[in-house]
Amino acid sequence: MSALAQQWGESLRSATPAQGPRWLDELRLRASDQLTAHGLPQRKDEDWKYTPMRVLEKLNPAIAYHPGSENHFLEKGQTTERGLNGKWFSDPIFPAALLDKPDYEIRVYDGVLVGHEGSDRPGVTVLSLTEGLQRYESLLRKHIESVDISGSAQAFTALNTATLNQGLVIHIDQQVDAGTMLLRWALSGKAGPSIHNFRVFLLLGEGTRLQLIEQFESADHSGSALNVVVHVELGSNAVLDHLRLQNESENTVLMSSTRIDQAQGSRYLYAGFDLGGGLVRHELKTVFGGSGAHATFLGAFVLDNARHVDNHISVDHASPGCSSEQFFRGVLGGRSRGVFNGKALIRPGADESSVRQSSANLLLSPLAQIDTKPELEIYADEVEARHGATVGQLDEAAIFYMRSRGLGEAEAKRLLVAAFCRAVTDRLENQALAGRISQLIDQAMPSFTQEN
Amino acid sequence: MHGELKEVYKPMSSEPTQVDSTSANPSSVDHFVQQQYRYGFVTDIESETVPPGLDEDVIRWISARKEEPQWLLDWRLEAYHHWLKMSPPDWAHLKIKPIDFQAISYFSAPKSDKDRPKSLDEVDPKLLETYEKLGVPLHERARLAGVVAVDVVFDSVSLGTTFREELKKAGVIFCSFSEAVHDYPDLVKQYLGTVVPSRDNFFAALNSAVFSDGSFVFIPKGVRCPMELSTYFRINAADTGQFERTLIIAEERSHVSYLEGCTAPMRDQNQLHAAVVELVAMDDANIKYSTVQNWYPGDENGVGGIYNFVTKRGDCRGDRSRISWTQVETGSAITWKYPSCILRGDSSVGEFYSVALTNNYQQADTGTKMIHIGRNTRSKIIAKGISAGHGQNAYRGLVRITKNAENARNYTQCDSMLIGKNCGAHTFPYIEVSNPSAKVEHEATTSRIGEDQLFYCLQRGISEEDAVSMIVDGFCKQVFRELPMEFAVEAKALLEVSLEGAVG
Repeated sequence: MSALAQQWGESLRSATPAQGPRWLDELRLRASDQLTAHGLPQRKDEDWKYTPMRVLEKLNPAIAYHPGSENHFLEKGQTTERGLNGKWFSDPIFPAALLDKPDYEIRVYDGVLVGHEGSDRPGVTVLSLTEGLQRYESLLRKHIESVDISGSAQAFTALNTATLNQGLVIHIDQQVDAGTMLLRWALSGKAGPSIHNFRVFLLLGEGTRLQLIEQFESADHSGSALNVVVHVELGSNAVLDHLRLQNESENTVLMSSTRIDQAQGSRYLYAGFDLGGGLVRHELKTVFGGSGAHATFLGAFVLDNARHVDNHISVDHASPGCSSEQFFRGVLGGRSRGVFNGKALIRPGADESSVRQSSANLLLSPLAQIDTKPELEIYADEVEARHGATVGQLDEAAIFYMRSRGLGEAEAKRLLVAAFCRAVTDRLENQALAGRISQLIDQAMPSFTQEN
Repeated sequence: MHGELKEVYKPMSSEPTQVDSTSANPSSVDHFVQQQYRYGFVTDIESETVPPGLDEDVIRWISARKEEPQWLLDWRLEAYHHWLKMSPPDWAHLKIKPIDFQAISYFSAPKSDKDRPKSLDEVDPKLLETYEKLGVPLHERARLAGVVAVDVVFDSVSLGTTFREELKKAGVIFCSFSEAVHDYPDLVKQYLGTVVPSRDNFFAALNSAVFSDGSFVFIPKGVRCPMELSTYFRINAADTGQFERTLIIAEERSHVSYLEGCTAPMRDQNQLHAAVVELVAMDDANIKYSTVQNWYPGDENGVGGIYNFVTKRGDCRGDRSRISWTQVETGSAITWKYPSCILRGDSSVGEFYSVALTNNYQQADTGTKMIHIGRNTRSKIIAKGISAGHGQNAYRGLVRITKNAENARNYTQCDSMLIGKNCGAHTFPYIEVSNPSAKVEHEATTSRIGEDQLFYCLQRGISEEDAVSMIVDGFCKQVFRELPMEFAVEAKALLEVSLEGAVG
């Protein structure tokens, strides 16, 4: 077992036990035991084959514990030094104008909720985990207990559960349109490198609608780690439009694990953009619990230097008549490494299912690497499933064409990369937002579009 | 030491290719689904078999019996000691009951082996009869204008080799592995285990320890093998694992096409088959390796059938060398097989064409690995999976472009067809690219057999059976056309026999 896992194990054993409902205390202990017994993910864990822990081990973060006094959500609109106007958040990436005025803005700094602001909408409840556990205990318990924490492959969900103390609960009553929420994450390395754990619950009732925009961007680049577990419950016909933009520093480690439970006719639309980070992994798993549900996973990663981004998507067609799509575009320069693992499982009886997977990648540097693995596991016959994966380069003829018309080589390459990523941004509904993301993508590709 | 004589011949319930073309009524074709394995019988020949179990003594016994040199015994023992430390792979998409490796007998040879026939004419007529039952009459094949030379592997010992003289004239060595060990020890020693090391994986290590026999082919520089080489394998004695080892070496500018086909008798106990095939292609050499695998698949309830764990790997050592694998996998209860190419030489080419069919309770986890190391290397993968009944069919493939493999190119297409409600089709492609000049394309589709196509055929008076067979044939065409002609015919027939009645 790695030195880091041992260090975490000792830290967990000597930590003051958090106080909570009895079932939760017991679960924390179980998770702690799991992590201590199995350690960090290893290369032999099939799901971690392409994502080594080197960057995390080099960062060597200590587990951050947050004393109980900070458990409570700040009063709405209340700000602290670290809050809404605090210096730890950089300028908002998305100006309010682009977001159709976000109805809520919520900030999590170093794994602690530090503020929220927004208009009151009836039927929309935003709570801290402590408050949420008082109000929706059985509902949250169901989700918390459903998380797999066994074995080294689940080390990060185990760590998150073992330290479960900080979180955010968003609950939307039936038939309510909750508008747009902006969830901003930032990290500091002020107390030395730490790993912060946080839990999010998005509980959308029947016929609800929410646009959630997550933004991971720290103003402080001294390096830290964030380990987030997200539970999404979509009632029948609910729609969650979930956009995630990650533009962290190269010293940052981000592990996210999102589990989506979809009822009949619900729609989950995910779009993830990874333009930064040192070691980043997003695990997203959706389960269709009712017919007619749909999930789309769009993603683009544009990586430079030694960044490593791993997207693990899994769709469980447990009900008939559902459709899913995974659509990823990767651009890799420098010494970066990109990983795409898309799984689709169609269970026996899940007829009339449709699955599409696409992973296209541009490899632009001799030291960059891409590993892609679109998997299909199909046990029903009335289905349509297809996947495609490609790895290639920029089209030399296209570059020549542009250069012959007076464009510089770097500019020509930039245009081609931008066009390649447009395949993803073009599919976003909010085109103003898509335009802003395209700009960010443009900024994220400095070195590999240089003249050579 | 002598195996018991058993007679478990089961008559066929019907002529399998007979189709009721006047009716597409599903019930009228039920008997096709339930039809018995066509090739189920055991030939009544005394066998010499070691008692079940594996230890050092068994390996020493096998080696001594085959009068092997010390170095080969040492090699076997080293593999055995390593095997003891290994555990069976569990990553494949297969449900396998644990195999008791001590319950298997590791050597079986027809008794008449001591008096080895000099030519096919001297082969025990009962053996020849066996091949007649298999539908592969040797004399007919031999008559095919001397095109095919057949090295017959009956259980574990090679019996006779046809056309050896003619091959000898061309300088081609085609003989059983045991003979090669005696006659060409330097060649065997030079190449054995250089493509699939004895420690490569659990089953390759087991094979290295106990391999019984197999084929050895050597094509010298600049020689185009004058005929297609062919080996028919056949598992015969009950409870006897077969551990063939095949080694094919193609020197500079040589060409060879090798055919491997197999059927096995009906038996209720699972039998283990763990073969190793090693191919070496030097500069500008070309090896084409074709397989039709029709081991006993178990009955319609999933009882019995062969466990087929095969390690096949080709090493394109030379520049501009080419290795092409073509396989039609219709048999075995379990198939675990990934014929691979290591594209070491610059501008070398690897190809993999596969049709895998699973019906009833068959399970297959098969695919390929293309490891691009040299510059300008190219690979192509065409895999077609057909699942029917409760069959589970998985494609598992790796395409790896290493750092120095400039301008590597891969194209992969894997399509799966589902016939029926209870079967499964799975695709697990691994694509690992570390060189920016690589072009890799992978596409896969999974769908049920086209209802519109079926409807179109039925509407024009074609029976459902014929329609399915036509559609499946079209689905597999890309692979079939890579097979040598007579193999393609056999493969097509096999697929029809295995599938008829699956729709309805």
